[in-house]
Amino acid sequence: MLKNYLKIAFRNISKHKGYSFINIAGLSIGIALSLLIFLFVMHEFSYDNFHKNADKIYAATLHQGEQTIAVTPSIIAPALDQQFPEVDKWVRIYEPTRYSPVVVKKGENIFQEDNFLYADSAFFEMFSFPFISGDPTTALERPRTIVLTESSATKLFGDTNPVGQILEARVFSDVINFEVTGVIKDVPSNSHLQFDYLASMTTRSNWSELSDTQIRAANFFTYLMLNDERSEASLSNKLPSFLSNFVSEESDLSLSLLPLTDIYLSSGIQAEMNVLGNKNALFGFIAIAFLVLLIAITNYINLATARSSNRASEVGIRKTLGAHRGALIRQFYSESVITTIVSVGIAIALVEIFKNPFFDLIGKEISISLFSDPLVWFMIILTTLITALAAGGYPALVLSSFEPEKVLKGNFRGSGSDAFFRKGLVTFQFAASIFLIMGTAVIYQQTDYILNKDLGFDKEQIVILPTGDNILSQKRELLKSEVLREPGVMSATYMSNVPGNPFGGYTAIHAPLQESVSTSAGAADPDIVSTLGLELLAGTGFPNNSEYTPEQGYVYIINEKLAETFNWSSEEAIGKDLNLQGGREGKVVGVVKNFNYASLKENIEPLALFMQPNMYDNLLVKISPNSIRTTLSSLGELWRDLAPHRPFEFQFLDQNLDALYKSEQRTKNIFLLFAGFAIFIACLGLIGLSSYTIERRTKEIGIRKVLGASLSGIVSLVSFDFLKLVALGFVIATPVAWYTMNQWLADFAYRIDMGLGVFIVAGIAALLIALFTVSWQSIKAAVANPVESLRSE
Amino acid sequence: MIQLRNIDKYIDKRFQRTFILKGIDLDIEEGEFVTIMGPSGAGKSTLLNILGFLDDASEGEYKFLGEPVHNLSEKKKSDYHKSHIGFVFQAYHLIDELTVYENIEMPLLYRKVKSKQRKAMVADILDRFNIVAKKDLFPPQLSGGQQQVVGVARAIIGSPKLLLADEPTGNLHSEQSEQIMEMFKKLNDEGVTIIQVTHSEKMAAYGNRIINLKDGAVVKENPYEEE
Repeated sequence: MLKNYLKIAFRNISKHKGYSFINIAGLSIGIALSLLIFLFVMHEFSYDNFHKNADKIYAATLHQGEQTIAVTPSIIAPALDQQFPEVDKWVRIYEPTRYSPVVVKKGENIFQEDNFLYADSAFFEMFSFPFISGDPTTALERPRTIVLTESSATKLFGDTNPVGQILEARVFSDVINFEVTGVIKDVPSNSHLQFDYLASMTTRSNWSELSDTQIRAANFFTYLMLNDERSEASLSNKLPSFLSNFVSEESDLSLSLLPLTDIYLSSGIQAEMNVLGNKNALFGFIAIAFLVLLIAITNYINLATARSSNRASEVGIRKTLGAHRGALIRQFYSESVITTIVSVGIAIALVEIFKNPFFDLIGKEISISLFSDPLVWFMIILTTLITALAAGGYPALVLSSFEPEKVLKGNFRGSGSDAFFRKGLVTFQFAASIFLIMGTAVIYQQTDYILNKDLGFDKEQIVILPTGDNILSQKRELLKSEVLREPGVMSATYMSNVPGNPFGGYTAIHAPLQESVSTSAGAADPDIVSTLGLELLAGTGFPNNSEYTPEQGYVYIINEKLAETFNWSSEEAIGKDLNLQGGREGKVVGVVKNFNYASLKENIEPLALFMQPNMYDNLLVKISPNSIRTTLSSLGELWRDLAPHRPFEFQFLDQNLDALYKSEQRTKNIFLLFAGFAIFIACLGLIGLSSYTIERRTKEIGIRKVLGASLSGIVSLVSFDFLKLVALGFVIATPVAWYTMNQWLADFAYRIDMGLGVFIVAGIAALLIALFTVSWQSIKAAVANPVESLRSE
Repeated sequence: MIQLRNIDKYIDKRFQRTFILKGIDLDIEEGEFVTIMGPSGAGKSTLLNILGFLDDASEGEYKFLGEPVHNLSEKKKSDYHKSHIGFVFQAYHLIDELTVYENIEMPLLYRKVKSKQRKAMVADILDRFNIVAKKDLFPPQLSGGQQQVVGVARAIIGSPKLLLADEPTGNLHSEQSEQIMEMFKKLNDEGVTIIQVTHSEKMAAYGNRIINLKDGAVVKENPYEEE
């Protein structure tokens, strides 16, 4: 029996090639997109699961007011371990590259490295990073030891075994000879800890912060491995009293534990090492993938029911031969099952071919094999089942319900409710497609807006050169003056932090006032105003005096927001005493207009800039727009003369800022891709449906033509029915898109005004695409010779 | 075998009831070869559909093998379709996507006949109807007469007790028609009860009883016998 079902299913699929193509093309694209999104989402949810102790590891996070901060003071981890038996192991991680890249030297080769971490010795006992060589338990015990990943080991040592060998690393101003004590496999992409070099924390044992006995600067990521699952609750209860030993009563600081596997998707944590994922966005992506699949499934349902009259007599015959309704339902299901299986096969091939371009498009490096993970298999099978059931269900019910007495008379036409249902589905398809087009348009506008918004400073043609080491600090003035002598260089300034990267968090105190103010702060030299094109509202700016040292008293340029926070006008602020936590007593010498030094998702927060040459870790060089290339190459020569210990590697400031919007770019690309395919699949369905309608109305069209109907009259006769549905889809999609996109935009402190224009343009675009699709068919019918169609009766 | 008592079939349309059949009383014994005749719209096909459980009577009583039909469940009806009743249609109604062999085999599939036995039965029928050479062709590749031969073969492969034929020769020319009728005659001789609808007196002559329908009523039973 099954064989018979399959046989007739195959013959039907191959007999109606056009319809089968529409079904299979739509379904395979829909399924392929769903699988790609699933692979991506699965990757995002799999972060840090690979650690053997994953369920026992927690990160300690600091809370202040509304903020959650990933870094804690150094004392937290050892003190918790000392006081509470729940703590089994503890590890602090310090990330020097947050401030300045590390320069690694091996022989003649110099590399500038951004993924360099320090960690306490229990690191490899807590986290499961498999060793290729070396001993995980002792690798980080001694000072000046370092563990490399496989690729960094190959990069530095080629094929020789690096264990026991020495490499030279320049971290800030220290040149350290590290002994390689281990090589691990490359860190998997689904690890929130990303590093190429991991050095022992004891290397920095002479750093006072490491032996803090009280809470000072929060510079360390703290990881705790607890004894068992009960430990987390009992330790969490003790944290408030633990912290009260260190902070005053009115402090709003608090401490909490975050499970390791939750870190990556806990968006909103500040100062995390790498960009975190966003759970809501993932659910959004799953939803739109499902939407596209649904559009494809709808095509199948529509075409199957539209053509049901062709199958009606077969149903009648089978019933007179003794077929139960159940047998017929099974038969029609077997057709949707076959179509789905063929589509899934094609989809798997498409995924294999396009997964890397897709991951490139969304800016993710994911190495995932489609078949190694049983979860992927499970998803493929589940998708197959759901698709086959959803696509085959309604047609099977409709077709199997036909009564032989009616259908065998010939000239059977489907019921009216059927056509109504079909119209509903087409409306849904276009509502969904138009929603995606509208979403894409809004996201495009917003990303365009944030990438091109006037930030209150110049970000173009500024090159960032890392200068944070002792050799270059000796040559600080020389380097800058030599750079400025290049004809293409317009100006240059030293800064401790670069716009787009986080600035340090400080507490600002104005002595006469009791309360303190949280502010971002960083060091810069006097030329920051001209180089970044800041607008000085009051005061003179930093003293342009090479003799200046902070010992003479700190000088501050603050932004309007900080002045406002102290209730000062710009003019009032000048000359006011200001002290940043850590004994930086000084005076305000300038107020600058607010500028967006951080992401446009956030409002401008208070900022204080001060002069402190030993913090000048970056040189920002503004280059004249007409001579970028030549200036860069002469800067390179200059660099090789003055800084032979560092490679000439630089970044552009605007690119650094653009990198803040990686996840927005991803959302934009995914929407663009899905909206494109959604409208494509919906139009495939429209082609099928309209050509079928026209086929059935050939005679009517013939008669109308004989009676003198014009070409345009006939085209609009056929097209109008469909366009009504598209228009209805537009009406449904607009409020939904309006609401959803408002939600999305709410994440941005700076956002576009969603005008009605976007929606109207998106709607008209969809309408035109649909019109083009339908009229292609109807024009063909309209120009056909009516004699042909009338003779066939 | 079949007892109809006071069968009515009507369609209700807004304030008006249109009768298709009215007050039909009819008894058909096993082994009869009955022909239903009458002008277009007389209700012949409707009567045949009711006899074959494809349609329900609006009023009246229909007993099939002593069992009241209006009490039959859908399941029971399709069981009767499988085992007791065969249909032959004017438009043949073969499934275009299946070969001759597969079309004939289909009723056996629904009866869950074992594969080996199925093969034997289909081979036997193909042989008996002289269409072995055509078994792998699809219906559109056959002439009308050949298609109807396949239709008859399919109708009787399950050895039904009752064969219902709605103008089986309506689309055929005379030579083909005679061939089909000869076939029916032979089946009737073998004990199959046959009820056919036809316009043609010539075809009616193959049977042994004629029922004349006019405007939904039986007008005169078997006028030929009196001659």
